[in-house]
Amino acid sequence: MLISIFLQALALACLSLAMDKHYKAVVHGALATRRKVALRILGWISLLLSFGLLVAQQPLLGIAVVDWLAWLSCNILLVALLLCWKASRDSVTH
Amino acid sequence: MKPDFRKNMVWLHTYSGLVMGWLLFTIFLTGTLAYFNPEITQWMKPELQKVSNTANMLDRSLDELHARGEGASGWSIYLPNNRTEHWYIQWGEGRRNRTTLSLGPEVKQVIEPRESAGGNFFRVFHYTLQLRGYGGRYYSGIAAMFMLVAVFSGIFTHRRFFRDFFTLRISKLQKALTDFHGLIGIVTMPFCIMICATGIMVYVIMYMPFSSEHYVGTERQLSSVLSPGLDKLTPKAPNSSPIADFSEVEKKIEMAWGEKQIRRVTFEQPFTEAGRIIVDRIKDSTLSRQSDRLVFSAHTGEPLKGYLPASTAAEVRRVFFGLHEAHFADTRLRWVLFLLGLLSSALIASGLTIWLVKRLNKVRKRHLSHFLVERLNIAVIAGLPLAIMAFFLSNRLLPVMLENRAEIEVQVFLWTWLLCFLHGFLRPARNAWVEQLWATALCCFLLPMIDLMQDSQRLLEAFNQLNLPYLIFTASILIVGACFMKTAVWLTGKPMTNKPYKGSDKSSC
Amino acid sequence: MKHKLDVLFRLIAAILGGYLVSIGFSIAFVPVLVWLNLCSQAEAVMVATMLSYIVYFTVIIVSFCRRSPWLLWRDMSLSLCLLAATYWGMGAL
Repeated sequence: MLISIFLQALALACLSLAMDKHYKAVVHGALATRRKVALRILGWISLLLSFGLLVAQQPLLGIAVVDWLAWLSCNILLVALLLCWKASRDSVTH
Repeated sequence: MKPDFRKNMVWLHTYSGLVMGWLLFTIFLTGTLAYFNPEITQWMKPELQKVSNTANMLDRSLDELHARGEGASGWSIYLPNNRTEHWYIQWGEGRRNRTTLSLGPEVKQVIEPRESAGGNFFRVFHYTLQLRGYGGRYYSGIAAMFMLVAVFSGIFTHRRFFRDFFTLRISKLQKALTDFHGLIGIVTMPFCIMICATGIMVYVIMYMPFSSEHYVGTERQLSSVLSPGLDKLTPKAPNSSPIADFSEVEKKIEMAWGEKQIRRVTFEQPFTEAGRIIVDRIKDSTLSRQSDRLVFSAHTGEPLKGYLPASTAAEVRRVFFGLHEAHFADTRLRWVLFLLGLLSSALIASGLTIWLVKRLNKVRKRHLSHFLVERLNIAVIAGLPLAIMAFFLSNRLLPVMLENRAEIEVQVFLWTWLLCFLHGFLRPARNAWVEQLWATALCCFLLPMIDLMQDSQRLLEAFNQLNLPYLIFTASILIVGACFMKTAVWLTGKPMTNKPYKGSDKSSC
Repeated sequence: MKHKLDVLFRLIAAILGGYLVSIGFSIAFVPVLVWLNLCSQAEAVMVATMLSYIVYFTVIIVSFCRRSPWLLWRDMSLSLCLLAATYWGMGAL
C-alpha cells in the first residue's frame, strides 16, 4: 500500500521533471532529450505500477480506483508544493 | 470567437462562484466533517464504552429484546463495528414510535449516553441546511449545479495552470492566492466533480420529477419498481414467538459473508408466523450504498427468499450515493477524502477572497457590493468554524440531563453563527477577521481543557483502551486551534486592503 | 457581456430554458430507450432523468458561449421542438 503511494509520488515527480521549466528550476541545467524521454518513461511506468499494486491489494476494483485517484490528487499537491518550495528557496539564495 | 469564449467563461466562473460561494463553503465544510460522522458522535457521547470486543453480542441483544420488546411489531439490533462503539437495540411500532436502549460490555449492563445531535448533525445540515421543510435540499442541489459550472469554467479561467503544470508564483500575495486557488482547483477537481455530481444524483428524481410522474408515478413508486422490496407483511395478532438463540442463524451468515460482517439485524413482525429477520452487511466491501442483505424466518431461523437484485439503473444510482457517502473507505482513505474536502473548502474560500482583494486593489471608492462580500466572507469563512466549535463546546457545557439537549446544541450553533454575522457587520473588517479567528482558536484550546476538568478519567481511559476516535479528535482540535491562532497572528501584522479611501492600495496584498 | 439586459437574458436562458430543455429531454428520451429495447420503461425513466442533468449543464454552458441571445433562443426553441417531435413521433409508432 505504502509502496504504491510512494511510487505514485515518484511518478509525478519524474513527469514534472521531464518538463523543461521544472527541470531548470530544480537542476539548474538544460534538459537533454534523452534524459527527458527516460524520465517520461520512468514516470509512466511507475504510475502504472502503482495502480497495478493497488488493484492487486484491494479485492474490489472500484474501491482501488477511488483510492488511487484520491492519492493522485494528494500527490500532485505534494509535488507541486515541493517544486514551489525548491524554486522559492533558490530565489532567496541567488 | 475564441477569446470571446474565454471571457464568457471567466465571467461565468466569477459570478457562479460568488453567488453560491458562501453556501458552497458551508456545505463543503460541514459535509467534510460528516465523513467522520460516527467518530464525532463517539466523542460527543463520552458515556459510550468500548463494546466491539464483547462476546455473544447478538444473543445478549436478543435476550434484552425478549425481556423488553414483548409484542412489538419491529425489533432492531445495531452492532458496533470498527468505526463506532455504539451498540443499541430498538423496539416499537412502525419507524417513528421506537424505544432505544444502548448496551454495555458487561452482561445486563445498560448505558445511557447523553442526548446529543452528534456527528449526524453535520450530515443532515450539509444537505438540508436545517431547512428541510423549506426547500433546503433544493438549495443544496442548486449549489451543487453551480459548483459544477464553476469548476468547468474555472478550467478556462485558470488555464495558465494547465499549460505550466503548476508553477506557483509566491512573490506577490494576490498572485500567490490566485495560484494557490488554481493549484487546489486542479488537485480537487475530480473530487469536486464527483461530490457535486453524486450529490445531485442522491435526489435525482426529486429535482427532476417530471419524467417519473409522466410515466410511472411518484419517486417512491419508481424506486419500488426499480428495486423491489420484500412482500409487505400484514400486521396480525401475535401467534408465534421469535427465536431466542441466534447462533444457528449466525453460523449461516458467517458461511455466506465471513466473520464480523453484520451491521444491523431487523426483525419484522417478530410475533407473527410470517415474521422475518433481515440482516444487513457492513458497507466496507461495496461501493454501493446498499450493502448485501440476507433474510431469515423470525421463528425458525430458516433462510427465506431474499431481495431481488435491483435493476441496473437503480444500482448505478446506489453506487453514486455510495461514492458520495464513502462508507467503503477505510481509515486511511477516509482521511485522504477528508483532506480533499478541506482543500475544496479552502478552494471556495480562497476564490471568495480573491474576488474581493482584486476589486479592492483597483477601485478608489468602495461599492456596497464590496462591503457586503467582505462582511459575508468574514461571517462565513471565519464564523462557521466558530459556530462549529460552539456546537462542540455546548455538547460539554450543557447540563447532561437537559431536556431536548440535541436541539439546543443545534440552536447554539445557529445563534453563534448569527452573532458572527452581526459581529462581522459591526466591526472594522480586519478586527472582525482577527477576533473571530482568535475566538475559534480559543474555543479549540478550551475544549480539551474543559473536557479534562469535567472528567479527568476520560482521557486516561481513552489511553488505556486505545480509544482512537476520542484521542484523535482531541489532537485534531488542538492542531486546528494552532492553525487558527497562526492565521490570526499572521493577519494582524499584514497590511490589508480593507482601509477604504486610502491611496496606498498598491502596497497591500 | 457588457449590457445588463444581455446578461439577464442569458441567465434566464441558462436557468429556466436549461431546466425546460432538460425536462423535455427526460420525457422524450424515455420512449427512445424503450424503442431501442435497451431497458424497461421504469429504468428508462431513471436513465433519462440522470442524463438530463448533463443536458442541463450543457445548456448552461452554451447559453454563455453563444454570440447573441437571439441565436441562443433560436437554438433553445429548436431543441425544444425537436424534443417534442421525438416525443410525439415515438408515441405514434
